[in-house]
Amino acid sequence: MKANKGNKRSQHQLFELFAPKMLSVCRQYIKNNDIAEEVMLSGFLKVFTHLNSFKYEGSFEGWIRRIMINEAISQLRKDKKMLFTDEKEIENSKDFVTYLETELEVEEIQKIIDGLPEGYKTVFMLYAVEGYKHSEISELLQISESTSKSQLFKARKVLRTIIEKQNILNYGTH
Amino acid sequence: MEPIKFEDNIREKLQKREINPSKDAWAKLAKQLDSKPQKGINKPIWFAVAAGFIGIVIVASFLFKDEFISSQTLPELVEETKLIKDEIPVENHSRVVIVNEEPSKKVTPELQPKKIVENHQNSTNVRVVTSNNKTNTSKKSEPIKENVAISTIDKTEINTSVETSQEKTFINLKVEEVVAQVQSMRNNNNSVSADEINTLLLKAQRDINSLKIVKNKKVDATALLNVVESELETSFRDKVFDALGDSFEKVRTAVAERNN
Repeated sequence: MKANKGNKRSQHQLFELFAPKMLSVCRQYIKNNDIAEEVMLSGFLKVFTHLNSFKYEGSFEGWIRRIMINEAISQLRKDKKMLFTDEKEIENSKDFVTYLETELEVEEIQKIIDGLPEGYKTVFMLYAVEGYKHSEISELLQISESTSKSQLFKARKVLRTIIEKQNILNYGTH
Repeated sequence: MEPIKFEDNIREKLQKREINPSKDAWAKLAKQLDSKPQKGINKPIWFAVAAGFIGIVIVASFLFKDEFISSQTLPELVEETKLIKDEIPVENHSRVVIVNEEPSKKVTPELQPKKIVENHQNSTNVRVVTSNNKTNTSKKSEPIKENVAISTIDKTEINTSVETSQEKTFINLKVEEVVAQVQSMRNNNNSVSADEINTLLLKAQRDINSLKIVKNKKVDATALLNVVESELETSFRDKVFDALGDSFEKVRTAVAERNN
């Protein structure tokens, strides 16, 4: 891999290929577009300086994606925006799975997600979009698994409320 | 129409989404890349430096190994010799026994205890030499055992000279004792048999040998053998005869017959 040896042209090609997707990942966690781009650039800097760490075990895109998520979480932690309240409301988390009448456009989805508190949003995105387990989330965010579960429950509850307000629900609670 | 799960919807939409970065995004990143050294490139250089250093250390350890060992061992040998000399006051050097020791060589620390044992053995040997002329000649015929360190010989010589003077006094006492006994027997009986004289001589000889063993403080196999055999020493026998004078011709004859 030429980018591994510091070849600028190769690095530029990699950047052109993955930057749009990775900026979208960063934007999921960071509300501000400019800050999201700064986080993405910081993530690419790590990608290019740690290319030797990539073991070719998984997909290269998946490896870059994980770096971007870590950078976004570091940024949120730095801004002290992530607050996790350790509440024990995890029993009926699945009751708050929301069903829609029609598909939402991505801009609408982003708007709904941006309405969530940072702690809820981060756990929800890691669990629902990235497919992380609660054990992985607890390790990444340095919280307990029960906190992760309670944050997910609360995120789902708030999302339902937002969507109800927009009158786009299909059947409501199942 | 099936209901749409909200979470599936957002996952699908967000994973497909792409947001184009600003135009100067790459320029910013390139600038940051230029200012930050790449870890992957520097690694081999550091490995080479470390390997070179380790190589130098190994070569140096091989080169200076011999010098280091010799400088450590030599002073120990000299120190030991001094100690032995200091322990014993020098009184008499009259009985110097053959010593052909080469100047001290390099001796490894493992060999030193063995050397000390040899020294002790030789010191006992020399004591035997001073008390018995027969064993003295036999010792001279063994050149290997005579290769002793100079310091050890000094020690043994002093010991033997002190012990010899004490033994001489004791032997003289015994001679006088035997002569007195023979004269008293002669005065009482007018005649003394050869067996009676022989018994007195044997008893005196045993006393002398016992004294030697006690003074040695160590169980010497040669001395014990001498006690068992109870042979008369020529020097002691001659002294008794000189003391008794010519009138005791038959005593001499009796002893001569016994020896034959």
